[in-house]
Amino acid sequence: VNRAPDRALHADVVHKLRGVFRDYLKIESDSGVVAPDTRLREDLKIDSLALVDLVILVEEAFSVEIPSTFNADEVRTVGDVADLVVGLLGAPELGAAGA
Amino acid sequence: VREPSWETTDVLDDFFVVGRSRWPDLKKLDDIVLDRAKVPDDVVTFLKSTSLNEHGIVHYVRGYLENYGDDYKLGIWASIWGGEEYTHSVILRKCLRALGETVRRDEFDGLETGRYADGWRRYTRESKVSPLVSDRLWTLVYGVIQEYSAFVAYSTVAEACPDEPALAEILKRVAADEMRHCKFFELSLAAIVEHSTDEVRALVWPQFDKLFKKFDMPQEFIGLFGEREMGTDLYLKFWTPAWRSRMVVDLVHRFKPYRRFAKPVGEASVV
Repeated sequence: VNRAPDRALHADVVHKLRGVFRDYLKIESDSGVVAPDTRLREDLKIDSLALVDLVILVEEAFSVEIPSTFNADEVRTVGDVADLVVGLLGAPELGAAGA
Repeated sequence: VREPSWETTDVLDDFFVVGRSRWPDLKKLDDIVLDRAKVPDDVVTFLKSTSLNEHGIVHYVRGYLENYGDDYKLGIWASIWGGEEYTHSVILRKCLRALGETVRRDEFDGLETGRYADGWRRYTRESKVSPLVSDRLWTLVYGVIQEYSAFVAYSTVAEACPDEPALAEILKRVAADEMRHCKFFELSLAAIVEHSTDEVRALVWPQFDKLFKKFDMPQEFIGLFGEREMGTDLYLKFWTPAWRSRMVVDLVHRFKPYRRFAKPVGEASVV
């Protein structure tokens, strides 16, 4: 995961991700259920099978393509997903629009 | 239904020719020297299980032929595929022999007489997202996932025997065959979907999604593998998080082109 220093971009990505996850989980109001430190597996119940959903949601929301070197074990929280997206957006060779 | 892009035998011929060239050293593998002390016990059990599994090709070819129905070209593919998978059984038994290990007669008997068809038919029926998904289409989606899983299985076990590189190399070559098979299913699926209705096209992604989330490998339908603890759980022991993630990402990318016909994630599985 590329830890990009662009905080504004990171904040925008987190904001959009919160909406993406709320829609996916069918959570109606923003009651803090989805925050940067929200854990994917334990809190959002996104297990290895639901990884398919995570990959497609992220790719379609941000027009990025997650590389096959991606390791889900290194992406444990919503903030980690944001780091991943920011890294892909900052790396055109990996982040070519795929949607 | 005639499908113009599927009328050609070019793709079949290409896969047949390449497949025939993959193991020119098959006979020489009789002379391979492997050191049992350098190969973990779980890897040996895997070799026994997969040599049996690949020997079970009669069950699997029958199941595929049944699901392909009147599609003659896919019938030819089932024959080619069966031959290649049986080659793997031969290769794996040569490796076992070099390790001083064997598959027992009663294990072969358990496989050959094992019941498969009923479980396969039930799985085909119950895991469809819609009656509009034909057995043939379902099987091609299944084939992509199954062959990719086989690719991961052999690749991960190759990584689990670093001290016996000759064996690891053979397993990587088997894995490459499985990836070729995956590609064939992918191409066949694309050719058939091209001539399907929009209604059917819209079901490809949901069918992938449903099958992936409740996937049974072929050996799940034969009692022997579960009874001898040589089934999918054994294979999964070798799967690292990195390989699991790679499989998800690669499969998503293979099926993603069909997303444009489907409903949003979360609504897709319910048809």
